[in-house]
Amino acid sequence: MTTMRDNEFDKGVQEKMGEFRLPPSAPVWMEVERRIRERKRRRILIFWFCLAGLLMAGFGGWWFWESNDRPALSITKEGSNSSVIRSTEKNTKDPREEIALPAKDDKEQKINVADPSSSPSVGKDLSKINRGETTTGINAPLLVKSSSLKQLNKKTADKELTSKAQLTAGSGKTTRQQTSPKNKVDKLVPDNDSQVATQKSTTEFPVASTSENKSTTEPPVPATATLAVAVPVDISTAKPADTVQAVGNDKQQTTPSLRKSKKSKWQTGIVFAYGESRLIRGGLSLFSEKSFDALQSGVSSGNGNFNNQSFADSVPLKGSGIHTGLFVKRQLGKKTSFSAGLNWSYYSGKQRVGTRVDSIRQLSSPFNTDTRNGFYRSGNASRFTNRYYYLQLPLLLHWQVNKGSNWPAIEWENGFVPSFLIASRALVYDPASRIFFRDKKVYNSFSLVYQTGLTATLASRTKHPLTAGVYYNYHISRLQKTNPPDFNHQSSYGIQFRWLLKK
Amino acid sequence: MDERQLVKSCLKGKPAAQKELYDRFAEQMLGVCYRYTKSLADAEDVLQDGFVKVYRFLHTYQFEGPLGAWIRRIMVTTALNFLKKHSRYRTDLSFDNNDALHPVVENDAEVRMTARELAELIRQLPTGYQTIFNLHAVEGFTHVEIGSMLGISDGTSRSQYARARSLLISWVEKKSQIKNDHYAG
Repeated sequence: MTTMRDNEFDKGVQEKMGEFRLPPSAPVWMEVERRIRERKRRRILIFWFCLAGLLMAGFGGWWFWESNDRPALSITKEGSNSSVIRSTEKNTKDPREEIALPAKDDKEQKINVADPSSSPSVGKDLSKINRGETTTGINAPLLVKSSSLKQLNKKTADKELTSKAQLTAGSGKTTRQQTSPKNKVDKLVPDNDSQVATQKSTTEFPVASTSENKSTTEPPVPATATLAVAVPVDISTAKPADTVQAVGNDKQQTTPSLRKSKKSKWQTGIVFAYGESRLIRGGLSLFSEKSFDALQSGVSSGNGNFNNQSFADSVPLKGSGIHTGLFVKRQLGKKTSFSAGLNWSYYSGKQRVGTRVDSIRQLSSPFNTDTRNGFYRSGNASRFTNRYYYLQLPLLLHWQVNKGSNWPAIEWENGFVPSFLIASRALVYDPASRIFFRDKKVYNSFSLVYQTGLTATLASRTKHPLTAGVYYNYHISRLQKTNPPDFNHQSSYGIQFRWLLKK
Repeated sequence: MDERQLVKSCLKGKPAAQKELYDRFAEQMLGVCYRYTKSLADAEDVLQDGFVKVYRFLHTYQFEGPLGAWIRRIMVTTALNFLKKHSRYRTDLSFDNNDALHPVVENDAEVRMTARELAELIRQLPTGYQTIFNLHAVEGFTHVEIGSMLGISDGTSRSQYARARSLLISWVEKKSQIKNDHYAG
C-alpha cells in the first residue's frame, strides 16, 4: 500500500514537473547570443593567429634553410702541394689565414680533371667549376688558378667575396704560382721556367673585381686579401685548340655558376621574457604605484590621504608578465644593431573584489548605462586575476656598451612596441555603482609601448648564442579608454632571454 | 522546421535558427534549472551557460533521441556544475549534515498542487535533498547513477532521497490542508 502511494507521489511529481515551464527574461538570450558570437570571433582570431604563426615559422624555416643552402666553395688539396680555392662567407678573420701556403716542395702535382677521384677533394670541386664556370670541357687541360678576394665594405664592414678561376693551358707542363706576401697581389706571376699560360681565362664572380685579366676594364678594387693559387692539373690529354676555344667562350660566359656566397645580414632568433606586470599611473616612473600593503593599511605612499576602501576596490595588484616570440636582428654599425619581432604577450594583475552576484544590474555610471548580468561587489572577499593578451611587434635599437671581444657583449636596447590587445579577461570598476564587471569595449585595442633593457651575450662563440638580461616596458597608451582609472598604464619588468637560431 | 533541420541550420551558424532553438526550449529548460537552484537569477545563469554549451556541442548530437531530452541533460549537468562551483550551494550540498531534519512521514499525501507550487516546495528543500530528489524523482536517474554524478555512494543517495521525499510529502500535506481549510472556511 505504502509503495503504491509512493509510486503515485513520484509519478505525480514527475508529471507536474514535466509540464512546468518558466519564461526567461529577455537579457538571457542577449547574453547567450553575445557569448556565441564572441566565441566565434575568438575562433577566427585564433585561426588567424595560428596562420600567422605558421607562416612566420615557415618563412623562418625557409630562410634558415636557404641561408644554409649556400655552400661555401672550398677546394682544398690536402697533401704536400697545398692548393686552395676557397670561398668563405663573411669571414672576419685575418685574410692572410685564408691563403694557401705554397707547398714545401716544389714538385708539381698533376690532377686529372677528368677523373676527380684522382684527388677527391680537389677534383670534386673542380668539376663543379668546370661545369658552370668554364667551357673548357671536361677533358680540357686546366691550370686552375683561384683567387679569393675579400673586400671590405666601407659602410657595413661586410667583407665580400671574390673568387676567380684562371684557366691556363700549356704544353703539358704546369707551374704552381703563389700569391704575393702582402696579399694584395692580384696578378699571376709565372715562375721563371714557366712554359705555361700563354692564354688566360678569367671567370669573374659578381663581386669580383680583379684586374688581372687584361681584357677586363674594371679598375682595381682595394682588397684586403687576394688569393691566387694555381692548381696544377694533368694536361697530358689536352689539345691547344680546346684551350683556345675555352678562352674564347669564357669571355661570353662570364656569368658565374657558383652562387655568390653572401651571408644574410639578418639574424633570427626566439625571445622569451618573464617578469612582473602591474598597472601604474601615467609617467614613466616605476615607483608611482602604491603597494597593496600600503593600501590595506591605509597609509598613503606620499600624495596625501585616501580612502582605504575605495583604493582597495579599484587598484589592481601586481601579476605576472610573459612575452615570447620570434625576432630578426641586423647589425647596423660596429656597435649598433636593429631588431624587429613578433611577440605574444601576457599581462596580468590581481584585483581585490567582493562577492559575485549573478543577477542583472544596470550600471549607473554616466559612461556606461548598459545592463550587466553577473558582477562583483566591491570589497576584499576574494581576488580576481585580470588577464590581457597582446600581439606585439617590438622594434628595438641595440647599442653595445662595452668594448672588446673577450668579455660578453653588453647591449642596451631601446625601442617602441606597437601592441594589439587580442583578448582580455578583466574586470572594470564602476565607481558610481561600486561594482566590478567585465566589458571588453572599454579597452584600447592598440597601444604603443616603450621598451628598454640591458642584455649580455653568453657563449657568443657558439653556433646559437644566448643572450640574457633584464627588460622594462611601459604602455604609453592608456589601457582603459572610457572612464579611465588612475592606474591605467600597463608595465612589465623582468628577465629576458634571446636565443639566436641563425647567427 | 523539424528538429533535424533546426539542428542543421544551427550548425551552419544561422542566427534565426539559433533563436528558434532557444525559443522552442528555453521555457521548459528554465523550469528544469529553476528546480535545482534557489533563485530565478541563478536559474537564468544556468540556463545561459547551458544554452551556450548546447550551441557549442550541438555537432555531437546524433539524433538518437528527442532533442529536448538531450538539451535537458545538458541543463541538468550545467546545474550540477553550478551548484558545485558556487560556495553558497556547496556548503549546503554536504549530504550528511541534514540529519537534524526528521519530517513526519505521511504516505497518504497527494499531489494536488500546481507545478509552480510544487517546484517552489522542491526548491525549499536543503540543496542536497533537492538535488537528489530532482535527479531521481523527476529526471529518472538511478541511485547508482546519482552516486557517480555527485561523488557519493548509492546508499547515501537512497537515504537522502527518502528523507527528501518524506519532507516534501509533509510540506505538500500541510499546504493541501491549508488550502482545504481555506476553501472550507
